[in-house]
Amino acid sequence: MIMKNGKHLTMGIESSCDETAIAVLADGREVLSNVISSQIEIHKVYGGVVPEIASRHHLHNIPFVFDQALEEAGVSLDEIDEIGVTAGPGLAGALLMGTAYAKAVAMAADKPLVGVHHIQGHIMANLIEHPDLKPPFLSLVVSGGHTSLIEVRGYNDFKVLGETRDDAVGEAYDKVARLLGLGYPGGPKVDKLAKEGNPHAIEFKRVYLEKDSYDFSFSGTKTAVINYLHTEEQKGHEFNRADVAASFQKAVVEVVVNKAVKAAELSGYPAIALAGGVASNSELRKELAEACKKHGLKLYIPSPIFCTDNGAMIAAAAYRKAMEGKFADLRLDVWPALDLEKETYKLDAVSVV
Amino acid sequence: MLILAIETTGPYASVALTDGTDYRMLTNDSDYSHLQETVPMVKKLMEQENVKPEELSAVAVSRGPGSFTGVRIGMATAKGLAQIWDKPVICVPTLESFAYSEPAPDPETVIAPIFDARRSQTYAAAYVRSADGAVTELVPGAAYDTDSFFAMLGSVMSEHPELKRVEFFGDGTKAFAGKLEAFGYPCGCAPEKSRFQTADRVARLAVKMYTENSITDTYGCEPDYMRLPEAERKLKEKLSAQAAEAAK
Repeated sequence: MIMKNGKHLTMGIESSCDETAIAVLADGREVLSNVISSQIEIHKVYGGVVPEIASRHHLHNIPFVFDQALEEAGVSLDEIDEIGVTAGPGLAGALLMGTAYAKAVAMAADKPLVGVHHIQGHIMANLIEHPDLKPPFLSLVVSGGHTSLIEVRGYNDFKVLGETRDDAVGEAYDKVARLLGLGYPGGPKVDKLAKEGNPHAIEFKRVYLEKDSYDFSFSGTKTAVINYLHTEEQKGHEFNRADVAASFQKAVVEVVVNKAVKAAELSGYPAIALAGGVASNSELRKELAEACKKHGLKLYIPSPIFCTDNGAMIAAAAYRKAMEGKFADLRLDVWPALDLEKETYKLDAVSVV
Repeated sequence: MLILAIETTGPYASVALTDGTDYRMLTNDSDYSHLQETVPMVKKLMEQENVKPEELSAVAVSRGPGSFTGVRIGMATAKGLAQIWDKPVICVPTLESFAYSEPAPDPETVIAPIFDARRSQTYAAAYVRSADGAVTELVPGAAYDTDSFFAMLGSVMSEHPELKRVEFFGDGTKAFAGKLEAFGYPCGCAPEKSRFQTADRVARLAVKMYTENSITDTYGCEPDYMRLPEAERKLKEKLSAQAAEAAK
């Protein structure tokens, strides 16, 4: 094994949505580079990510991002120990670009390949800045495509306690942002506007589902917002957009926080690790921090740069998989809807070429 | 000269190696597994032919048109390989590669690749190859309304009585079977085995392009989709309609 100053180097490649990102990590935690080429400006005009456009841009961007990641890390490809790539879940065409490229690079450079589950990446992003964090712990994953409560039993061992049955938190935010004429991406815009509003102005429905369920549902809350706006318009009332944003955010965050804390307490885990793009949401961070303090739970939150889709989180997960010998072969496929608990073996299946 | 060629734009992925004389090819017989099979096929072919990366002169890739996803898989693979091996890239136009089919069609036969582009369109072209191997473009490769393409091809046939028949290639042979039947000139579909895109044709055209120094690199090679993404097309239509409205 080639070692750079005795360190184990992992490259992580991520292209599951609209960020083309590549990073180099040392020993699974130390970020040597973390290059993210975001397409957000390109998709803004469409009000959301257009998969075909995202795929075209990934293809163009990826070799440049790769060079920059190695250059900023100050290492050569020879010194990299393995190449991790997001192979699911995500947009099929977008996943294909990172995976096809990673396979070519792995073959050309004769490097081991690791197929990474995108959500494992988000969870492992917590390890980067928190050297004390070790499984087992509970993770709350909130992003544009995912809302899940996950028991992290080991670095590669997960139990999904609950997940969304309809919209992910990020999706609900995007839709409400559209209703309020805020544009895309909705999360940060609703969050910002909410700061100017009264969170108790409108009591939107809190959806807890069945007693003891850790699943989520946000489409009901979203519909409540639609109905509210509709009714106000029909009555000819002026509504306060900031109050709507603040009240919607309150309704969503309250449910998420209460479920996360309850899950941590019942499962006996002393810590919650927040993960995913929506982990940057200021209200969620604040409420979760207060609730964790109140219940004596330790809270871990990655810096915003590691919450958004990035290569460092993929490298962090790839490192953990490599340590347990979980490598992919060159026939690695992509899995747009890949279950974290039951299906990650698909990434590691060994077959004869 | 030693060129590796990758073709993933059609229903079956294939890879080929050539020194300009011999052509060796591996084809994946099952469709819809381009991502899974392409890189392993490259590895296998190079091992089988005992070719080391440093011996390669260039990596050639079929640049489209074709399935958008298919075009990208080959392109991403070629970019990755060429970048790591530090080799030039030959960006081969997919439609034109059919003009390099072997065995050579007779010089009186028009070679017409027609791909099903849906929405009543076809990515198509027409070529003829003389006895000395020179290729003449009769209808340039582009996205056409299917009826317009067949009308253009009909005009070519009437203007060139020396051309006796048309041989059609590509998945359009099935999608436009009715139009082929109604085409007023002698024509037929290429045999099933050689009907679709193949890496050996890409390699043949790549050899020509390589000798003409028509090469680029990982950063410069781009697909030729011949069509905008649907969302972008609709947005452009909307914006131009708005501009027209404003002009009034």
